[in-house]
Amino acid sequence: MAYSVEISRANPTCFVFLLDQSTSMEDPIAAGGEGTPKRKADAVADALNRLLFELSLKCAKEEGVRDYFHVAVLGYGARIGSAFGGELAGRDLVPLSQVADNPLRVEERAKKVPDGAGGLVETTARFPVWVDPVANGGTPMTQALGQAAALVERWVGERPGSFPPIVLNLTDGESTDGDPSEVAAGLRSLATADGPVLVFNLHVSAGQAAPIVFPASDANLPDDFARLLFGMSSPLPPHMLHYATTQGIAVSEGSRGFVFNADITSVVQFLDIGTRATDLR
Amino acid sequence: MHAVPRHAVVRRAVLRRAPLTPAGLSYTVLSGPKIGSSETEYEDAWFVSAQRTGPRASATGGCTVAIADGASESMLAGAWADRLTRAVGGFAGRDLGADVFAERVCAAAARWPAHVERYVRRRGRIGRPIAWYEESKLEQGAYATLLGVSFRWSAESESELAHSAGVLGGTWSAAALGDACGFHVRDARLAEAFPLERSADFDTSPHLAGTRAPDRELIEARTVVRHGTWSPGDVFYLATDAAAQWFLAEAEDGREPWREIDEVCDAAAPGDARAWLDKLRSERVMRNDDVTIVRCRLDANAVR
Repeated sequence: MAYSVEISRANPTCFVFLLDQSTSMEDPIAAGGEGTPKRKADAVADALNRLLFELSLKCAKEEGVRDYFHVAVLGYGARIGSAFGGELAGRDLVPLSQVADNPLRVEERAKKVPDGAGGLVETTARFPVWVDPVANGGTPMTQALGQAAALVERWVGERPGSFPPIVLNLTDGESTDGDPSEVAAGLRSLATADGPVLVFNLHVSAGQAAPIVFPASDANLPDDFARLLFGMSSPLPPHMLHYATTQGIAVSEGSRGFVFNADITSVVQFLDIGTRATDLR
Repeated sequence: MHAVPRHAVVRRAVLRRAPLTPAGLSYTVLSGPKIGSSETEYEDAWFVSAQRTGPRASATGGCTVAIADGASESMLAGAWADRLTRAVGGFAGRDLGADVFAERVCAAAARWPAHVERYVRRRGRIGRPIAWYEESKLEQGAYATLLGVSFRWSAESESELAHSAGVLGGTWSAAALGDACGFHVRDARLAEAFPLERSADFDTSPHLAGTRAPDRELIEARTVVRHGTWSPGDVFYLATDAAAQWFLAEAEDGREPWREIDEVCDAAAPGDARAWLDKLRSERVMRNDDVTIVRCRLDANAVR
């Protein structure tokens, strides 16, 4: 059965994040509520920092973060390349423990926690930042997917028995270097013995506020960019569908790894590294 | 209480009977970390209570055996599993029910923050302060599956269940939260499996006992309770999930997995156990996970 190999330190898998840093990311995303709309660049940088936060947390143990994953973050805009800064600048696939230990900075952010008496009290929590928002240049998505394919091809060649690599593209979908569908299909055709590479997409858009999460068809998608990214996205494997269902996420047979103007950090929880730690609720 | 080390690959021990408890239980523990993990990363736990003695002991005494499996996604999971087994082992032979089981879990959870505070202080003292990811992870709490089995020996003054069944042994009661399982083997036959009965019932999201504001009523509702009688010569195997799933799959295929366990438990060299576990894992008939199996042999009741 595909996608059943255990992800472990002895047999890790890799996560390649693609981060759209083009000028169009300066535009605001569609906002449903009051206040200043967030820029697309802010939305994808936030999403990426949160994904790395959740991934690190998932693998954190007493001795540190375990290297169940190796992680690359490729930015694409005026240039294509590693979006890591600081100690990790210029590096592609980095063991997760090094990612966790080397954010650009760790910010103190306010958060509300239960006060034990039914109310909430404000406190602070440390939140690491690996990438800052960037919006500059064209959108060479096709080339970026090609670079991701090169990284993934190297990985599956070196670790043919691993859980298949996951490529997660965070973008507004407005590719300026041609139709990326073919490169994405090539990426999905790469495989380990445990199954084909998974390609997921987070689409941030100015066009519509209503979020769409893991749709099974493109019938209700608002525009061609969304349909393009949906078409590039892999179907969620059965165990991910099952887990999503248990978490109350509405998925169905054929649901794809595509999210529109919504939170995509749940994909981190779709990955099995052992017995899950969840509240009895 | 009789505290026992939890890190050995194979340990054998015989629980000596107290003067007022002429019956006996001998147990063997087979345990080991998953491949790729060190001994210190083993996050299962087990505990066998001493039989109760003294003025508060019953005429017949009893013994409680507990195992727990710390959830690999949580921090300090091994320490939490250890605390849970001690909390349930504290029943020392008294009947296990969902209410008292849940009460013990909640009481252990109430003491957990102090443990975490000590851990954080110790990390500071040794020059390794808590990193941002540990701070957030510790807030999420620790989780473990938990199984306890109490054994009682029959006597004229109690164990009506045993008397009505006409057995010479006694009664047992079990409470389980999650997928650590117990198997009752009698006359070379699997008499009962609990709380799970099929190898297909295992997944990576079992019910768990957590440290963070546990909901007592929910734990009680999710605790599976079993009662029964045992006869002299019966054997109970308590196993954490990977070994339990293997056990059930073997039994479903018409094999007798308890014989394999017995061979390993009775082997002369402790290394045989590690070799056996490695073989099953490499053949992919057992998932690569921490393994704990406690074999409990119940002896004849000399009183009757």
